[in-house]
Amino acid sequence: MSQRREGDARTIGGDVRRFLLLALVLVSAQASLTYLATPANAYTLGHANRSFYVYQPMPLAALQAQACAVKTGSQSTRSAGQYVILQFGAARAANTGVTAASTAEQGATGYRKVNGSSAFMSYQEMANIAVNFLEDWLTCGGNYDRVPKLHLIIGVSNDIPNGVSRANGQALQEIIQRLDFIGTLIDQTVFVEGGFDFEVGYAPYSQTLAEAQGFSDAAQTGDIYNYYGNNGCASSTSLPAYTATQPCGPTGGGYTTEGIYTLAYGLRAAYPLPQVYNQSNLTQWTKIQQYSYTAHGLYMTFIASLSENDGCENGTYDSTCAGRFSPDDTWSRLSSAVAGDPYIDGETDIGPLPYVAAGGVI
Amino acid sequence: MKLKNKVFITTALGLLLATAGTGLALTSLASSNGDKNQLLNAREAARDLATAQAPARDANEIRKLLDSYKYPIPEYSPPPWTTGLFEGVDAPVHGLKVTNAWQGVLSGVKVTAYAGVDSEDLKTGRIVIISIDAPHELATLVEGYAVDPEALGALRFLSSDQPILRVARADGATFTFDLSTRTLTRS
Repeated sequence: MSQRREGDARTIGGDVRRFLLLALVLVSAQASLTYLATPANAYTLGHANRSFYVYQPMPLAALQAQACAVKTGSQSTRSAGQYVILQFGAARAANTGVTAASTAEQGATGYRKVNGSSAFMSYQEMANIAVNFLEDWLTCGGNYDRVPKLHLIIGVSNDIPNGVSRANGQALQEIIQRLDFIGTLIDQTVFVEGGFDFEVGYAPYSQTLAEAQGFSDAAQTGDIYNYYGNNGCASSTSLPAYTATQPCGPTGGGYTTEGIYTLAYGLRAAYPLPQVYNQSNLTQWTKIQQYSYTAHGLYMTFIASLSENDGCENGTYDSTCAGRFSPDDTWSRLSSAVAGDPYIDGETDIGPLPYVAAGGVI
Repeated sequence: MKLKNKVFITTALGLLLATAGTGLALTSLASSNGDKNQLLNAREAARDLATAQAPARDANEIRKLLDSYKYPIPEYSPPPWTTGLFEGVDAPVHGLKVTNAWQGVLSGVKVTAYAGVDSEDLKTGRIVIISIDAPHELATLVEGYAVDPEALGALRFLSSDQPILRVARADGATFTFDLSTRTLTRS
């Protein structure tokens, strides 16, 4: 970690103008703290942003096309941020027993095929894909034009039992901080964040919590991770409010209302970007937010809403596709249903990264 | 000391102090009870300001800078293609908890079929077929799927007699799955 910081410092020292610009932004940020007295308002909704399940190796042209579509689409006229999740596979180590927070030995399955299974992809490889996306997004159309801020979220899941760990979360945090630094250094409109597709049907709560704690504990002030899995809690509107120990998800998973709250919002760096694919998801997240207020005295704030319209249109195999919400529906229904000052800066819709045959391979 | 250096050092020192002030303010917010939402608002407000002040950058300059931050990683070489049943695998798809997989060639296309259960409804058995991109043998596309309407548990492939796969469900029931038509039939 210290070596990386020293290297970054040398880069800054080599470009005084860049450093001054970065510092000026921080000065402005300090001045803006008066903004705290004013509640945040949800922005006017534009068109859906896109998020992608990333397949690797992916022809470079596919990524370039999507990055440009995100940047130049009509949604770029919005004042809100653009949220793009690059969703990789299950968090795990290269070899069983790797506990060090190494960005080369920790990573995810990466949706890369090897004889029936997805192969390991290190966080360093994933970082390179993210850098490619940033490059394509920033340079799309030739010369750079100012556009709304981009939240690029690098996401992994808890898909493999016994495959997630605290060390993996720490390694992801290190990569995120590096990418966010690079993004801010090069262009102050780009921000990189971590993301977790924590599904209650996958790894048990104890291991999932270890992954999340590894990421959150290593976070600096202001760093966040976005939780967008299925929380699995009771989805009937007629049932009473959630209690802390009420089970969520399958028997034996160990998830409870309080556990979901902890993963989604209780940990220092955690904020939900809820998967609101249908009415059941909407009820679940609304009731979790109510629980956060009654049990912890604070309404949970949502970063953005997540829909899966494209995923259902291009590769339907998910039970949540039945009765699914459109991206606009997802945002508007969540905004209307939740209490307090929910924030909900934007929306994003996830699906497979379209494959094209032309171009080089990342 | 040259004037230029003095100006730089003075400016840098001032900016560092300002940065530290910002950090302290945010840290103070983060540590005080109930300010988590305000911390998020402050961060986004700062980012909005940064966005508004962002200068134009040349595309070539951006590429050069970003390339310098890429990790040197050796080119990936996939292992040889093999066919048959595979245990202990995971699928490159969302929403499926995999039991096992079958891999082979179907009408000239390399495919992998995964048997398992819906990850959000652990009673509904599912089969998902993925095609393998020929040039790279890595990129994947969902080709088709099948759902067990009885929803009585996870599915598992037992054996293959292409294009038919024998399938067992968690409750002991057996089926055949036709890879060509993607149909699941009780046997």
